Amino acid sequence: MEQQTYQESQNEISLKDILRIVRKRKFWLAATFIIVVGLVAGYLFRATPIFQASATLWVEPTQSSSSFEDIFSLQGGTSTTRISTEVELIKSRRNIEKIIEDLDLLDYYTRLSGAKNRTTINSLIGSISNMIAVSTVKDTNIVRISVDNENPNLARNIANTLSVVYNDMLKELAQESFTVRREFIESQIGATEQQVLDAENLLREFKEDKGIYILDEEARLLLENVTYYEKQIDPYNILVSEAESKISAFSEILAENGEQPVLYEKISLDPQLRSIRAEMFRAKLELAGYRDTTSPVLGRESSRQVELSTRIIRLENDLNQQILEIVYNAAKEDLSSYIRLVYKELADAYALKYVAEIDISYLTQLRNKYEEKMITLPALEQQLLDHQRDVTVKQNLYILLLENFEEAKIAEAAVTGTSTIIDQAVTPLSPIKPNKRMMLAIGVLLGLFLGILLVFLVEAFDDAIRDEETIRRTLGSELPILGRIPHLIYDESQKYPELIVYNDPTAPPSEAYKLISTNVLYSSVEAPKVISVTSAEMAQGKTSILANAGIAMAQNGLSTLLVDADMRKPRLEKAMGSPRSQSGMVNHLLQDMDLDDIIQTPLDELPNLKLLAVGPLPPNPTALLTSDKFQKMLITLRKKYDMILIDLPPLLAASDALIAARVSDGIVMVVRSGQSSKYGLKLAAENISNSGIPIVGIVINDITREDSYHYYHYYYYYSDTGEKAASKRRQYKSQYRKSTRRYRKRMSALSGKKRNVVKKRASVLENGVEIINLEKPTIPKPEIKPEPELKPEPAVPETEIVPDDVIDDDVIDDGVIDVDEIDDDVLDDESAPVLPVSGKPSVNNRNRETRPKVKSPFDYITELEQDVLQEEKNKEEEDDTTTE
Amino acid sequence: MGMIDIHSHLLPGIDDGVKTEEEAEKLLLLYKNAGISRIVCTPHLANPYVKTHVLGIRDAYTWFKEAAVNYGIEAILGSELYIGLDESKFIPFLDKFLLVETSMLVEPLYLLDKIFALQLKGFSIIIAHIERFSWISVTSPTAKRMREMGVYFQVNIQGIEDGSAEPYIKKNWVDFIATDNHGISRRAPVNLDIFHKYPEIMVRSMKILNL
Ligand SMILES: [Fe+2]
Repeated sequence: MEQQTYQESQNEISLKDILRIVRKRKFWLAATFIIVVGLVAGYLFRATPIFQASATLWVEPTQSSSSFEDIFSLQGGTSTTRISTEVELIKSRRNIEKIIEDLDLLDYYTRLSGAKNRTTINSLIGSISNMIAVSTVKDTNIVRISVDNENPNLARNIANTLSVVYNDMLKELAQESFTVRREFIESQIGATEQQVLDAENLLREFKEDKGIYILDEEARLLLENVTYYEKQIDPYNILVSEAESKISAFSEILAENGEQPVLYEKISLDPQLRSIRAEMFRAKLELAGYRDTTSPVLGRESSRQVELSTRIIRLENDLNQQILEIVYNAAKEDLSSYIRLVYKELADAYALKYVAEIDISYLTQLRNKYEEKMITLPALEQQLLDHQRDVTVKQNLYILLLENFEEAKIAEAAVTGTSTIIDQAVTPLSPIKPNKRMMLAIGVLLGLFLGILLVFLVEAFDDAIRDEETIRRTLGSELPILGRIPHLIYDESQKYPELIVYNDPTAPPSEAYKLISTNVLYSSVEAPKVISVTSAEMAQGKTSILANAGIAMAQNGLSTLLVDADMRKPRLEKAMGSPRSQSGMVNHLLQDMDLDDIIQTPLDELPNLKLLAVGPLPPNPTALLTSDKFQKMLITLRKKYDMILIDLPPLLAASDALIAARVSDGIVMVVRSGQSSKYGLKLAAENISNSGIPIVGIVINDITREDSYHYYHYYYYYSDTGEKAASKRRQYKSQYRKSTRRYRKRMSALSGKKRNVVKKRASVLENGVEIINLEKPTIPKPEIKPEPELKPEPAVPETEIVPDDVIDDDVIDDGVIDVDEIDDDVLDDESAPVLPVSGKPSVNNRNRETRPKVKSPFDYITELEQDVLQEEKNKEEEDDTTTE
Repeated sequence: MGMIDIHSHLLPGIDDGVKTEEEAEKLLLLYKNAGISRIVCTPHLANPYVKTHVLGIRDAYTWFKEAAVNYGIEAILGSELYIGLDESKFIPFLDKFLLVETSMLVEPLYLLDKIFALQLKGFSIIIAHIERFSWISVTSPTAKRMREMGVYFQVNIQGIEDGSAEPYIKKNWVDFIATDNHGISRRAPVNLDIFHKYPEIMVRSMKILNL
């Protein structure tokens, strides 16, 4: 059942517990917090700030840049995929190279990184490309160019330059085709003008020469028809030439970039294109036939014409697609976006030329039809017709060229990039990275989180007991806390440094010891008589608590016996300020030495306080502590004393401690705050509960301010001289006096035996507090043990005192001394064995010790001599027998 | 305050110590000059390596005690008991102090038990020249346990001079400094001035002996 309570309390962790744990380890929390925030702040302080500048652009998705063939632009995807192409285009190597050149960045970075690290153009392109982030504003054609850099001005410059460079690139690309066209037309105009003049001169000379000035009606009609077609052919010729110029221009760009575009000759041989061409030729011819026959006035297109027009458009589309495919197929796999664009332009030019050639060929066929008829005319007329035709054709061409030239000039000038800068980048004022506020906020949160985490980790790994809460949670059951001893520093200059209650019965710590004695006495209905004091581990302070509590009991008039049963490391005598005596409990247990001869009175002023020391340390203490003799001894002693306090070995160090404690009415556990381990306490408590001996309660030793502010505060009041402290002190005093008086009454009522009460004298302090004071002369005589020196001779059998079986067998069984049970701390230097700690005359103790029967040295010599003589005699007899 | 040498082999012709009465007198003069007022004569007993003339101890001690009076020195009889063979017969000094030695090389079986048995009889055990036993050191568990048991340690002046006693002195484990004087005919004379260099140990010795 106890097990269950224990488990329940283990699993429950309330908010209060959490707060308590955090408060207890607030230094861990604070330290972690400060370190984390400090690290973050340090990083923020040291980190180079990064500035971001952004420019936004409105981007028209890239289109075929030749504006006058709209049908070609039918191919291609939706505008969103176009936009992603733009994003790629913006960061293209060509643009970044341009930026580096424009802003002289190579020089700038070489200076920045020092002469040692040569900045190469390639590494620079990489790093600048990393600075640039291009993103699209969702579902719009708006593109944002962001540049991160340590230098805010440079960031702005790069962003702005990039938007301009990008725009320029688009512009250049578009302009390329317009420029080629304008230049071509320009070059043709002069030549054509001359041709017109030449043709006109020839016509005039012919007319003057032959005297024929006017053509007859039939010839004029023929001429009109021929020139009609010639007029139609001319623009296509120009188109072909334009296309050729473009082809050569784009091919040149591609060649510069290491590309080998497919040649036009190869395209014209493509069988699929040929079939398209043939079909298109027929369709156009047929369409032209309709135009030929229908009067322009009644020009209502038949359904056939519509069908033909649609087919032509479709065929052109197919053709366009086919050419683009051929061009791309011939190119390399992974093309940069720019080169891809140029290829596209080239394909467009090829298509332009191809279609124009188809137009030329069918128009030529139609024209030739009328030309053939001209042969039937008379020779002179025919010649005039030729001249006239020539002039008309040349004039038409010239006019066409002039028109186209104007148009080309305007178009060229009107070309802009397809993007528009919406917002220019401005110099950023505050850095984007590191975001100080955000980072600090994260640091603060992280610090708190890690701090709390660490607090709980430390709590989980800290096995030490620091407060009552921990004890309660470790043991589960509600064990009473019998007392709380504050952290004490002994005044070594005093005769009995450890005996606080003896030195100053009214000092605050003495009150704590007195409270322990009161609490022990009232721990059960029938007052306990034999109490074992122990701890789970070594060095918990059990001995000094036992000594002081014993003094408090003795001062209260109880005849008190302190028994040192810690045979491994006895410390009680040292705590009591007595030298280690030569004889003690061990002599009684092994040699039946009279208890009255070995029980000491360590403090002259407290004759009712007795001490039973260990005596010689047996190699096998277990055998002694678990012996029936030990139990019998305690039963005997129980009758003689009001209270017996046994200093047991630590439970976890000695297996015999609990067996020895069988005769006691209860066990007092001492726990040293901040040192005792939870595990040890739990184990010890389990062992005790298995043994069936009741635990009277727990004494917490060595409480410091850090362990528990509350208790420290409590004692602080007592050491205070202020009014408040005095009143508290009074209150506590009278309480203690009352309780002890009550106890004595009860004791006498219980036993009915008359008790020897040490007469006490009440003295009044300045603050009116009575204290108990003991006076030596008034000690009632019967209580004092007669001084052993008055005894004639200790009844110690001088020979064969050690029963062989006890010493030899036990020791042999146990082997040599269990070394593990000896710990080092008490041993070093201070452990000079029997030295009297104080200057106290050791008369009493010396006389109490077992002394070998007083013999003179000559008695010993006699014994030795007898031995030797006996030996010699034996030898002689032996010799005699051998000689005989 | 007078000083005491609790370990000596000055009885003439008894063990491996002083041979003649003349030699003993020479030594007594040295002790007197060194300001030593008490000498404990501790002939070897039960030592398998030393033959002790047990039957001569009585007369030798009677003579030595008389002779010492002339030098203002009190002679006390004791013995140096060898633990390991037979520990039943010995001569304690000052009623209850027993100087013991053991094998130099190995720890005797049941040493601690034997010490406990002697303690139980009321004797205070002093380990002679602890620094000379190779089986024990300041770090050995046996040494620690002996300190807990209240066993006293004695070191030789020679051990102080050659430094082998140093760890014990540092640990404050030395209760007695003694000469283990074997005379001047067999060994080099002992530097008795060393006694004066450790006044704290002298005070401690006197307290233990209750002198
Ligand atoms: Fe010796």
